Amino acid sequence: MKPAFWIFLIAAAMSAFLLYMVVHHENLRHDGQEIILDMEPIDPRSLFRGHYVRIQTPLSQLDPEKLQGDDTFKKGQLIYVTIEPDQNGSWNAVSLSHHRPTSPQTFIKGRVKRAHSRLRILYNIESYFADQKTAKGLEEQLADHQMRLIIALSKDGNAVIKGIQIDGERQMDRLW
Amino acid sequence: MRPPLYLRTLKDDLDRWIRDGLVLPDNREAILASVQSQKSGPSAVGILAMLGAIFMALAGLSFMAANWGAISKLWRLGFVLAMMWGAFGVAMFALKQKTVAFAHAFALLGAALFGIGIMLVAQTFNISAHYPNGILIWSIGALGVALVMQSRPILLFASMLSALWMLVSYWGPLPGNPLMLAYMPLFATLWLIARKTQAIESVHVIVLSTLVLAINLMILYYPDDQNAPAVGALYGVMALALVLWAGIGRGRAVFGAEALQMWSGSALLVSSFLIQFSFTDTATEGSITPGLLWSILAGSGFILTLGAAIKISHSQRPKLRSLIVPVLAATTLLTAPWLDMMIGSVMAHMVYGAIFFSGAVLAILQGVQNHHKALLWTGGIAFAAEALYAYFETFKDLLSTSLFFFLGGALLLAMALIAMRFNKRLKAGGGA
Repeated sequence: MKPAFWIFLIAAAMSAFLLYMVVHHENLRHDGQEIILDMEPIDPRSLFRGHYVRIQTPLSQLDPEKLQGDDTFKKGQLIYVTIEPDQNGSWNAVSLSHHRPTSPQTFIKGRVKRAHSRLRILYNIESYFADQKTAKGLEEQLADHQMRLIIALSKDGNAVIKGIQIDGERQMDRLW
Repeated sequence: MRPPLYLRTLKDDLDRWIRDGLVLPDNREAILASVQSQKSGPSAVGILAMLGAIFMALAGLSFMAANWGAISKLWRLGFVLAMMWGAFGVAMFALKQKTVAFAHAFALLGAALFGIGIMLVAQTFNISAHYPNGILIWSIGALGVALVMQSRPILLFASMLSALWMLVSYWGPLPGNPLMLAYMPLFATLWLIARKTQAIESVHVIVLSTLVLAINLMILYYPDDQNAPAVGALYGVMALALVLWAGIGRGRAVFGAEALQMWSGSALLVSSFLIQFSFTDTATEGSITPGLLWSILAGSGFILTLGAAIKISHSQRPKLRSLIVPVLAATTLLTAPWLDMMIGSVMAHMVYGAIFFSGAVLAILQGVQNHHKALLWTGGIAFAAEALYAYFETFKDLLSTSLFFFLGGALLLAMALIAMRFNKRLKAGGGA
């Protein structure tokens, strides 16, 4: 086979992978169950993927002793957090489990980053990418405005950020 | 191919040498043909094309990272995909035109644009926790391009990406990513392609990153500080075994053995030097509990060292030294974590320091005798580092330090005298 054929195949595989990623995440963002979390944006940083705001939510650090379900978790372990909305519409943790909950309750899947008396958990919703001006603006608005994170959840508990709510006004991320 | 300027200069020189009677006129064309058929290093065109491709890739990366709001993300992704196809297209065209330098440069740009596409998707959907795996997929893509193009620069790029992925997997948001172990088959594939393309620069990256991976895995398994000396000893004995086996491979002209020996030698030097920092007065028996796995790995390292030493001793003279030195070094390394508990901190520093100095001196001597520059430098660095450590850190009072240096110096001078007399006797014997 000629190199041109193989390069065509590789380029096609690369393109297919990128398009699959886009379609998969866009589907989740569009069809997933929407939940809203209180959020606290922390200093914008510049990394490989540009400027972003590091986000902390009430689900980022949890105390197993104050919640129902399993108590002991190890670093790197999968964790399923069952969540419920409060009277303000913000969702909070009610129980923790090593296994996927069978009850019809809503849950989010994460991975334990640190396991001491409190658990530090990552859900893949810890960064919000924006241009430099927007990223800095988000942090500055925190003092005077109520900010909440809008999330889409798949049936498996995978989460993807849909947008941000500032003082009740929704700013949704769009692909186009 | 040699550059045109070199050929023109050679033609002028040849004409002059023929006029002066140094070269026969009949040999002129044969010399030129021989030089023209020789492979030279990378050409100026190749280097400029590669650097141009790298700048284009950096432009793409900055454009993506800027997160410019004037164009939608879908359009941006479309733009990156179009650029990637364009770069691969130009690479294929250049290959057809036999302008290999441009073909490799544009294929490298295409491979880089694939990664930029991955980062753009990660940015679009705010993917954070699993983003190291994006670098893994990027490196696999670049590896495929390197394999098809048989390109050393693209293979180097793929090797650097896989090393970056391994580092980010360890130090990134989710330390202990189970996919980290996938580095081993990736390493093996990279090595095979590097051997096929004779890409020695990629071998350096592969070897170095594998040695770093080994440290990462050990720290991951033994995170407690109290086990650090045992981990250092284990790493040191593994590096020693690698040094010896790579040396055997060098003798058989195995591709990459020289790079493996150089970097594992450096790893041995650093780990064996750092072990002595654990010799403290407060050490208590039983504080180091490395367990069964450590014993199995340490035993394996010792057996590998012994095996290599036996193999070397059968092929070299003097046999005894080839056997005793590695075994003594491995034994010293594996007992070092408990040395201060057995004989006290000061004695441990003295005994270990003396053995370390002996190793450094032996490396220098072997380096000089075998014209092995890397070994000579390693021995020299080890000697200087240990001398500084002994002077600043170890024996608490300067009188003991002075005595240690005096004895060491006297010993070395005596050895130099013996070596001089031995050389004289050999010369006299040879002349007779």
